[in-house]
Amino acid sequence: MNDPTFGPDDEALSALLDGELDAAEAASLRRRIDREPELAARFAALEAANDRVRGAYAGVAAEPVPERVHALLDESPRAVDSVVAFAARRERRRFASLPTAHLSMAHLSTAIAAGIALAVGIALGLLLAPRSPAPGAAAALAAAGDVAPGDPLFAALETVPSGAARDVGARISAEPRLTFRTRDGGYCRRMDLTRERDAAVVLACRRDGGWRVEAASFARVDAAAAGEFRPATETPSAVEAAIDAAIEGEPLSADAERALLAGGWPGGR
Amino acid sequence: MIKQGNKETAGTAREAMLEALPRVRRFALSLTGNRHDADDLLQNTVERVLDRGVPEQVDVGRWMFKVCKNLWIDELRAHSVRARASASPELAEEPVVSGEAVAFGELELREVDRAMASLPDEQRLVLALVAVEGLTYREAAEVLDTPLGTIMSRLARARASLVSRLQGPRAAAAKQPETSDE
Repeated sequence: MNDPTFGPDDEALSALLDGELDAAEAASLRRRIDREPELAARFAALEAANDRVRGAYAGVAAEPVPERVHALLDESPRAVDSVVAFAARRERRRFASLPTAHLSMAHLSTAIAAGIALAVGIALGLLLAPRSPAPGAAAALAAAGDVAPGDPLFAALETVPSGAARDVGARISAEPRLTFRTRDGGYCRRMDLTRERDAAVVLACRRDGGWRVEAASFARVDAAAAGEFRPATETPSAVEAAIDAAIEGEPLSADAERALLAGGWPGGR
Repeated sequence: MIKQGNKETAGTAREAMLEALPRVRRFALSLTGNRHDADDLLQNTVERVLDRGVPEQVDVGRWMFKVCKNLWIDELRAHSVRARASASPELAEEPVVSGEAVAFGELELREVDRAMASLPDEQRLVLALVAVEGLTYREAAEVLDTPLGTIMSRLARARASLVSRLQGPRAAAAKQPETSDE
């Protein structure tokens, strides 16, 4: 192929980029790069093009895989499948606006492995950012988030019934979506945070008198289908996976939830 | 030879396939350029692998890449109409969303895809495997049944073409290509 854009050192530079040169070759090429500005510029250009390609597709692996594809692999449902299916059904019934494709099996293992727990401050920071978080951001931010009394999120978690939204400042609206009892006797709530087209879904659990964010997913509200969330990160199902792992039985009924909100949460202050 | 009879290994293979799905789908998207075709290609890949099994001693994820690649090439041959010109008309099939609503990431994806679509198929394949999926040259060589040296030169050529197509962030709209390499 006669390609005028192809430089004489491109092959070596490209291999250097991939870490595929042996140590001696790599060292000698790096020395040349240090000495020759043109070579350095070419290396930088190749690297930049490569980064753009990698970056452009980075988020795609976090998108939900179509259910029809999963269905091919789900010919022998197991216990875990029915748990997930149950949660999906439940969500669908209560919150018809949420897609359920990402509640499927495939994301479970990776989501749990990621063990994502995010500080609410970080969650809010990401919501406030002009665009959704860079791929990898969620996994990188593995710090657990405590929501202390006094935080507007605390009040929202403590008192707002599922399905009602509350403004928590910074143009962020917080809406608890469901409450459930955990296998170890505690309580957790799923809450959506939205700010214009950005959204985060968090799972917070009542612990030691406060709330702790156990998992978070980020999404972008798709304007083409108002009200729906389109998962936009590598673990869109982190929250669903965490719910499935922790939930005991069904989510609380509205009455049971109301009693909790009115009578105080167990676990004390 | 084939991981199918044994129930236990079949279960493991199934889990490995589930695990690999998001990346195989991304690979399919980096080849087809639109999600609709990517999902179809993914489905065909899974069906083919389920139908024929995975050889022992082979990484299931990489095997799926390989099957996906073969199906894509078959598809290209079958529909040579789909000569992917630089205009990349298949991108127009993406759901139309108002400019404001398109996330930055989506615009960037489209622009990069246009550049990818301008590459010869064999370069696009190796770039997708190495630059996007992070395979080593050896792994890519295995998936593509191609010698290491060829992998290396295709990658370099692919990147060199992209340098002239993707200059600076989102520059393509504003800047004419400096060289006419087609």
